[in-house]
Amino acid sequence: MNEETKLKSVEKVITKEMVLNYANTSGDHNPIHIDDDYAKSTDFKGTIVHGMFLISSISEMLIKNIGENWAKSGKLKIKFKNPLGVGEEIITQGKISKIVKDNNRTLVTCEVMCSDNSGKILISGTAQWRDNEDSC
Amino acid sequence: MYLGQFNNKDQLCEFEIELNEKYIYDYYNSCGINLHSYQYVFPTELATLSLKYFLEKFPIPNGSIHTSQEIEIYSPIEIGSNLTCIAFLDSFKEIRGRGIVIVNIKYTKSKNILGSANATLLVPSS
Repeated sequence: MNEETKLKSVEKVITKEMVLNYANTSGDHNPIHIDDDYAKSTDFKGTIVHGMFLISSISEMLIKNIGENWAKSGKLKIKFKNPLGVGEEIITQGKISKIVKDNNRTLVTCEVMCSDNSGKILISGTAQWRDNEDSC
Repeated sequence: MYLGQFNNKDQLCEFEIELNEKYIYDYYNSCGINLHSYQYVFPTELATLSLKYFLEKFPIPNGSIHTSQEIEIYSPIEIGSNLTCIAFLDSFKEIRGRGIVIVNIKYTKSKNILGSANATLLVPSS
């Protein structure tokens, strides 16, 4: 893995069933996520996916590309840019932007984002983790 | 206003979370992520579970918007761990009738801080 390396992306459609399950797991039952009638009366004109659900797809990408180092020392800073409607598709992207080696440890910085299938950015930010030198 | 009874840097609450295998399984299942086979908890699982407990104590009003999220693991947290979470009102600002609230949660075990999270919320005036 080097600077400019692109991570393998995650692509998935987030269904109503997934959002309902996520609401139960997270305890976030805000009607904007789960109540069609309420959501239609808001500026969003329909239910939207939980922001933390979108972040989980970034984490999924990092798990698949980085593995357990992401758990041992992961740091994530994310800003929410736009909502995703329930039933729509998300695509994650990640690109290594900086690698700093210090003794036998390496600090990796990665620009991450998530967009819908029209290319609209939903969330973006940076992820960092410490890696073993021999795996970087 | 949400959390209006507190001052900046006040402790909001303290609660225990158990990062057991069932929660990890449910989390990954609900997010549509293939089977989790790791020894340690990933940052987003930690932030999501602590947010659940926090929202039970301080439900956010309808119309609130989660605008940013930070989460950092300082030391590996094994699946099955019990952690004490301490939540603080990191900052509160009122702008044009809406509140910008940053809640900080520290994850501790035996008094050692293993990680932290910051959630920024835009909340409507009450």
